[in-house]
Amino acid sequence: MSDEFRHPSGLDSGRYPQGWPGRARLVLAVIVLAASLFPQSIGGGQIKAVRRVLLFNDFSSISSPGMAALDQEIVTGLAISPYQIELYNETLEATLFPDEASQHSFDEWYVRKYADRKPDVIITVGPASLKFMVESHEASFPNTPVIFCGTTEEMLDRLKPDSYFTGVWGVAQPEMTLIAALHLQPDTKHVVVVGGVGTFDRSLEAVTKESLRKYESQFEFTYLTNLDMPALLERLRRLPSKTIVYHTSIVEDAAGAHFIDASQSVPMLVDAANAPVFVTDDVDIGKGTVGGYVVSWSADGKVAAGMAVRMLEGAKPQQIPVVRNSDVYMFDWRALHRWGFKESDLPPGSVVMFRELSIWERSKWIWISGLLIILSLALLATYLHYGRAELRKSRDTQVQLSGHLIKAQEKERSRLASELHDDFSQRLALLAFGLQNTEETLPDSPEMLKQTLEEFRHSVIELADDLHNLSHQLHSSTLDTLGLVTGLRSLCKEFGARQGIEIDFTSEGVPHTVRPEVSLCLFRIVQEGLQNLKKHSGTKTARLSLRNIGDKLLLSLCDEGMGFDANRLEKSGLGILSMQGRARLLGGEFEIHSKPGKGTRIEAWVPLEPAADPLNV
Amino acid sequence: MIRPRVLLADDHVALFEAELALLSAHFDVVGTAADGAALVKEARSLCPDVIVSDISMPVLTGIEAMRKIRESGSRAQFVFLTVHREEEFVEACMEAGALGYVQKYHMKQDLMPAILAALAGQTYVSKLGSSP
Repeated sequence: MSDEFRHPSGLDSGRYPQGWPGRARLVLAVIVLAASLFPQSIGGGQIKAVRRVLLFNDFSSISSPGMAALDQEIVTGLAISPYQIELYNETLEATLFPDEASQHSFDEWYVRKYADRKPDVIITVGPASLKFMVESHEASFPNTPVIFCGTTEEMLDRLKPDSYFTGVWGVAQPEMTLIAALHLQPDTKHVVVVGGVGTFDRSLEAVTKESLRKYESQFEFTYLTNLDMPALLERLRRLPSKTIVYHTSIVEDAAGAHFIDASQSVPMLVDAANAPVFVTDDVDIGKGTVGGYVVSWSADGKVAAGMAVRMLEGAKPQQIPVVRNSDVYMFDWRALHRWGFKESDLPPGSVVMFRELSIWERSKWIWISGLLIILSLALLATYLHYGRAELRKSRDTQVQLSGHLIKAQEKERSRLASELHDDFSQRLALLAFGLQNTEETLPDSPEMLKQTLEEFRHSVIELADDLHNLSHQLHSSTLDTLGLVTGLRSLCKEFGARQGIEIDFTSEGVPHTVRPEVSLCLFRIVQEGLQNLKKHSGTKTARLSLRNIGDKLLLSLCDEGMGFDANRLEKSGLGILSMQGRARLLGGEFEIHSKPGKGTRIEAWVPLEPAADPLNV
Repeated sequence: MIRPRVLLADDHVALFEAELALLSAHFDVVGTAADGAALVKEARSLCPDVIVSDISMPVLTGIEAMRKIRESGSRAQFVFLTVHREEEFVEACMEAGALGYVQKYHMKQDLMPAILAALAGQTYVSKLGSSP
């Protein structure tokens, strides 16, 4: 049970000579605070009966973190009361003003102060407050029930509360802390108990001594409880190995210096000690101490508040039995770590505070997020991959489809051409022959008949010519019969003659026999290229070359005409698409190079032995 | 008088009949064929003086058949009888070694002179185009 202070009341009395008006202001402030904590009492719309609760503290909340925690629980606990609570708060400052004269004058003052405001319940927090109330209750606050907390029974010495008292005893059990410490550090040989000379300090020291007495034969015990702070710290720096330190409370040292135990004494001890420091109450944990089987002041406050609420509702103190609060094993993870203690050696049910997250725990969300992002990217990549594969597949399908179209078209052209040539032309020729025969076998027929038959024959031959031309346009018999080079030369010549465009055709190393699908592909590309040239170039000359390079045939058709923007190729018509389609179908490539005003060059290369499904025409 | 021996090849039945009739009047038609391969075979076995052949025929074209016949050592003269009227065809036939090129539309007046010219080692080419 730690605590202490350093208190403002001396300061206050400097500013306010009597000291007490300052205290009155403090009380007022507490009332205002209480009002704000119980909003329903203000805004509830119904007027509640007023009940007065007087809270006696050994130390002010400012000077004792333990008291502060306890007071807070009391204020919170009283909030459930159906009454309008007027909360008065007095601080005994027993440590700062321990002399009898001061305490006596306090006593008189409280009696005067509350003569006209009799509290309905008094709550004492700490051993000094309880002692004071036990001694002065009958005279100063007769018949007022008292609830005590924040103290152990041992601290009351031989005083016995009467029937107006009930409350909660804190239970300090230093031996339980020692047992836990021995589990953590089994080779312990020395136990050093540190403490101060204040009233509270001495009370706690006495409790501790009593509790540890039965272990005195097993370990070497040293009580550093009569030193001034500097001397104590010096001793703590030179402790032998295999030592544990048990801290009680230091609110005042041997030199008369006062300390706030939890926030001033404890950190100094921990800094100095070369051994683990165990403590008595929960507010001493978090400053570098290991922990222990600690008293929880806030738990005491909760119990006391509950009792106060019951009393305000009419319960007599005698009807509310005194309780003992059980302590809790509580440890600081960081200190355990510092001293190499294993969590597995802690007593079952231990509370471990200030646990630092492991690298994994600290970064796991980063990793999980990272992993999720990677996973998402992988999914996206897979999706895109499949998307691309799908695209490629559909492009392949498209090429295949256009291949089929071209194939079908060529087949049909070929069929028509064959039919025209093989049958119609022949039959017409035969007809012409027959007509001529008839003409000759009618030597005596009138001249008119002869003339008519002759004209008839001419018409038939003209018709045959037209049919032949049509057949030739559909499918070049020259190409089929005489091969690619001759076919192209013939095409250039015919086209040149028809369009007035001179085409310079050269060939280099082209085999005599070229597979029909390759011949036809290049032939059609030239046909289409020449059509484009006629339509767009505005030129009267062009060059066509066909070369055998390696296992490919390279076709190039150039002009020096107007050209166009090759970047807008995608808008080009069916002609270019079909040239491209034909070349790709055989595993070749097709390119157009052109700039406005700089002429046009189309290039196509096709393997001599295409691997792909050839045009079976 | 010994009539020149002629081998005739054409895949068009009706025209073939007309051609055969025309030729038989003046020559000894020793054999016939309806495709390029048959022509090669007949030419090798019959050793005709003149071969009158269509160009576009199944299996082998007349020009291809002619190359094979030449390869086998035949000295038969070639006269092509065809509906093709492109110069490329004429050139291709002449390059291959044919002496005559007759368009079927004009065979009535051109075939005899062409065969006779071929027998004399001279060339004869029908006027290309439709006019008689």
